[in-house]
This record gives sequence, C-alpha cells and structure tokens, in this order.
Amino acid sequence: MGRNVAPITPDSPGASEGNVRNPYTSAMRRGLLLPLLLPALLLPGAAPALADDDAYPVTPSTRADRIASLWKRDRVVVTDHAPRSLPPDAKARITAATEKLGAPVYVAVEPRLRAVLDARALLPLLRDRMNGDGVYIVLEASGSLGEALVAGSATAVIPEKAWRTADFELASGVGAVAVVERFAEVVRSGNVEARYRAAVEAERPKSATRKRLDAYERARSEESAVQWTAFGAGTAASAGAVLLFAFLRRRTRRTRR
Amino acid sequence: MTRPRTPPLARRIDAVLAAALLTVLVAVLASVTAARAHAEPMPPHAYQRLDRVGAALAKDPLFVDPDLAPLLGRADRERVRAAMTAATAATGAPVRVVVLPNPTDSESRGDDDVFLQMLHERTGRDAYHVLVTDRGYITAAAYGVPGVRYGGYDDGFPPDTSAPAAQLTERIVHQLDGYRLGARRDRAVTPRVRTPAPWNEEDRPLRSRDDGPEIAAPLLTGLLLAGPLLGLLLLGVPPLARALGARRRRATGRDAPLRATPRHLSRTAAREIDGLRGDLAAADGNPGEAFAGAAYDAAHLLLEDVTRSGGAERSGDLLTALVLARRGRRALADRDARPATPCFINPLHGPSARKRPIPGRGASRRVCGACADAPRGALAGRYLRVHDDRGRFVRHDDLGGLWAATGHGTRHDPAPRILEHLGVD
Repeated sequence: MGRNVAPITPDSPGASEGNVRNPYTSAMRRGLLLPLLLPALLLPGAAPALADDDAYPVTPSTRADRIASLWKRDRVVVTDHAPRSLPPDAKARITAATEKLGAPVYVAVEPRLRAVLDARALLPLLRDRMNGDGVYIVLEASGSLGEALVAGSATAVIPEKAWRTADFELASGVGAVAVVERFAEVVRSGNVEARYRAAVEAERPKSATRKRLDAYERARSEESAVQWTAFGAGTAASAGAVLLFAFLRRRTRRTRR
Repeated sequence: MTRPRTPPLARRIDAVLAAALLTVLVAVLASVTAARAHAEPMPPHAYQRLDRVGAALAKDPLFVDPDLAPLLGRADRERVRAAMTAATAATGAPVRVVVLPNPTDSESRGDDDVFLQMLHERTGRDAYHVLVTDRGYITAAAYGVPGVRYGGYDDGFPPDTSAPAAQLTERIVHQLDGYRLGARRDRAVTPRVRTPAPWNEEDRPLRSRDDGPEIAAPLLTGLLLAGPLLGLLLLGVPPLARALGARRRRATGRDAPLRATPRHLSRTAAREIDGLRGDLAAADGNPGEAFAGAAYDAAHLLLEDVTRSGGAERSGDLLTALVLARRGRRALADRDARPATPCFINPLHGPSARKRPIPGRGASRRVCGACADAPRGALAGRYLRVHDDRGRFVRHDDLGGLWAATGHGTRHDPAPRILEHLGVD
C-alpha cells in the first residue's frame, strides 16, 4: 500500500469527523445524500395495479383478450360480479344510451379483480384487438376509474374530452350506468368544450356517501352540544343548590349562636 | 319513630339506578329487534351469478370463472380434479371447487362464507364446497357432508398477499387433501348460519339511532353526580386554603424564613437598625434605653463594616447585627433592660420563651414557644440556615466568626464583643 493512510483510531485526527472511507458519511458531508437516495424514495408504493405484478396471471393482456372476445359477440359487456353496484337493467340502459352516437361504442363494465382497474393499460391493447375503429370504454362497476379511447373514424364524430367531462361532472360512486349515460348526453349535446372547462374548474360534486357522512357529523356535533349543555345545566343547578344549602346553614348557625 | 326510614337521598339513588337499568335493557332489546327488522330480502338480480355458477357446477364440479381462467392452466385443473376425485372416493362426499372473484360489491358483499352459504341454498346440493378467490383466499364449507375436525386448521390465507397466485394449485390440492384425510363421518357439522349484508345499506353510518340528542342522561349526570361533587369541592376550597396558610405560619413561628440569604439578612438588618434609630430618638426615660443605645452602636457599625467590605459573604455578621437590633427594639418596646435572647433554633423566630433540651447539643437551650412545642424529630428541620463563607447553606449554629463568638445569639450582652471585633474601643 503506497498511500500514506494512517489507521483510524479514536485519537487520530480524522476520527471525530467520521470514517472517511464510509461512502454515506462522506456523501452526507458533501450534501449528496439526498440526491443519491432520491430514486429509492421515489419508488412507487405497494398499491397493486394489474400491470405491475408479473407473477399474477391475470394481466392487462389476458383481460384484453377476454373483453375483446366478448365484444365480438356484443358491444356492451356488463359483469355479473357486482350486482350491488349495478341495477338489474344495467346492460339494457347502457346499450340504449350508446345506441346512435354516430360511431360504434364498445363498453366493458369490469369487476375489481384483485387490483384496481388499469384502464389506461387496457385500452390500447383492446384497440389493437378490435381493428381500432370506434369508441372503447372501460370502467369499474362503481363508475370509477373509467377511461375512454376514441379511435379511427370515430374521432371525427365523438370528441376526445367527452368522457372526462362526464366523469368530472358526476360525483364518485354513482355507478357505471350513470356515467355512461352522462357521456352519451354530453356527446349528443355537442357542447363539449365549454362543459369540459366548466367541469374541470369546478369542484367535483359530493358523493352520496360524503353527503351522508357530513350530515351524520353535523347531527352528532349538534347532539353533542345539546348534551353538554344539559350536563352543564344540571351541574350548575345542583352545585348551586349545595352551595346555597351550605350558606344558609352557616347563616342559621350563626344567628342561632 | 318506630321504623327506620331510608334517607331520601338513598331512595332517589335507587330510583335512578332502576330507571337506568331499565333503559339499558329496553335499548338492547330495541336494537336487536331493529337489526332483525332491517334485513331485507335480496333482489332477484342478486342471484344472477349464483345461478350461472350453479348451472355450471351441475355439469362439472370444478368451476373456473372465465374472468379468472388464466389462474389455472390445463395441467393445474387436472391436478385439482384428481384431488377432488380422491377426496370424494375417501369420504363419500361430493366435492365442488369454485374459482371466482368476490369483490365487495358482489351479492355476498365480498364475504366468501356468505357466498358458499348462498350457493348451497340456491342449488340445494349438499357437498364439500371450496371457494378460491382472485386474491388467493381459499374458503371451504361442508354442507350436509362430514366436516373436518379442528386439527390441522388452515385459515386459507395466501402465504404472501402480494403474490396471491403463487402455488395456488398446490394450496387447493392441499385443502382437498386436508379434507380427505381429516373428514369424520360421525358428525355432519353445519357451518354457522350467516346473514348477508343488507342490500342498499352498505354505506349507512354505523349508528342507526336517529332519535336526536339525549337530554335526560347528561342532565341527570350533572345534577346527581358532577354538581354535588363540584359544590363540595367549592365549599372545601376556602377552609383548605386557610388550613394551609395556618400550617405554614405555625411552622415558621412568625413568617420567618428557614433559609436566609445574605441579601434578606442585610435588608432586614438595615430595616431593623433604622427602626431602632427611630425608636431611640423617641425614647425618653425608658429602662431599656441603655441596652438599646449600645445595641444600636454595635449593630450599626457592624452593618456599615459589612456593607463597606463588599465581596465576602458575612451572613454571620449580618445575623449578629440583625438580632441585636431587634433585641434593642424589644428592650425599648417592653421597657426591659434585659430583653430575651432570640430563639436558638431560628433566631428570626423572635425572642425565646423557655428552655428545652436540644438533640445533638447536649444542654438545654432557650427557644421560642413554637419550637418548644415542636416534636423532637421536627426540630432539625426548623433550624435557620444561612450562607457560610463559601456560599453554601449551613445551620446557623455551625457558623464560626463573630456569630459564634456571641454564642450563636445566646450571649446576653454581645455589644462589647462586637465593638472589640471591629477594632473600636
């Protein structure tokens, strides 16, 4: 070893500044620690999405195969795994809503299969399998996480922003049927640009669950106020009675003496 | 009065307790019946998928939903079928395996046990049912066929929830083998009857009581519990304060500190000497005048000396001056040529009244009335403490110097000693 490196002992000059051979401390001293660790900090969290896990056999590709095979028979596919989110006539209503929009509309209402729906990964695969002509809509039964892809000749008839307008104008959790019907209504109205801007700028309307929770909290806090007032009144009344009683007793005792 | 009367307060408490108990019972009964009443029947479209699964199972006891087809390949299905056949051969019970997603908005609200129960009810076929969901959970229920004893309980959780499809086939086969080996013919245990979650009420807030705020309970609590306690507390505050104040006064005699800083000593000494000067100016034909005059001279010169010297702490000297000045004032006030020496325990207590034996000092000393009455063990804590020359608090009778030369306050006539110490003749 040609370099004149003194061994680090507790009393050696560099000891108090830390072992310079340790890359972390030297990085820390030069202010490089955060940039070095940034990639680790930015890695996505544990929420699974269909695309991420290679070991799970149900992938966007297999889903796309399945949905495409169903679409070949019927352009509206509604899962039966989610009857609590969908009315019994969901398929009929969605078919009727998307009937004559000027281009074929394919709708797939998907159940939640272990992970949240990754519509953005699915739609390009579906377009490839379906000859890429029409509107392809994939959404969950609750109406959330839906995306639409307008491809081929349909782009001339159906605006790209129509789906997002419908999505933003509605509260979350209204159900797939409501979102698709709103989409059809937006397309038919022809006023997509203005409505899109208005929907994007405005606050998302409150969902039914949110309203119920807000009312519940309001009612509970009002109840609480009334109950505490009752408690305070009772306490004041009987404390006052006790003090009055003691005061009168002292008075009578004094006068008796 | 021939028979004892229960006091009115006790009777009221009994009534309140009885009312409370009754209210609790009624509330429990009401909630139970209300829960029963809320269970609505399922709408017909809830059974759509159950019918589909049931129809498929009638043809093939292994059902894999097309949405989950990639989970089990052809070879895997063959292995599962083999295990199913073996289990049926060994136990005589039909076995049905269903591979199906069960999200929370399904008819069974995501509850796998409820799904199997509904499937059994809908199809009416007794069998050992196994449900495998998309998340890798395996649930089994035996309806009308021999059940499995609790030995070898497997909760059906995937070993790694982030890889639910890992070794899925092995786990299903393991479950079936467990049934084959563990099934007992002597008992056909029906699984616990479960209630499916009520329809359309999934997001209801937990508390179903909508009858407004409770007024009686908090009012009564305040009236009967908190109010009297608060009243008694408020009643007790003035006597408590008085008692604490009296205790402190008794302990120190007459607002005398236990630890006197030099500053306190010098200020008090200065005050007493000024007072003595004023008293002397007014004295005329007072028998104590001689003593008071000598006391003033000595104390005043001593205080000046201490003030001039600055630096060193001279608590002993300050104490000497203070005590002498007080005695001078007492001589004038009581018209006494021989005023009493101060209390030995704490010279700031005032003049001594009688003698008592002091532990650790041998002989008896003169102490004030409070110290004379104090118990023997408490005396050590009543000593006055002042700074020694290093600034630490020590008992005044451990000081040396002038204070010790005047007998720690016990010398009757310290004035000459003081003047001698100061170098004044």
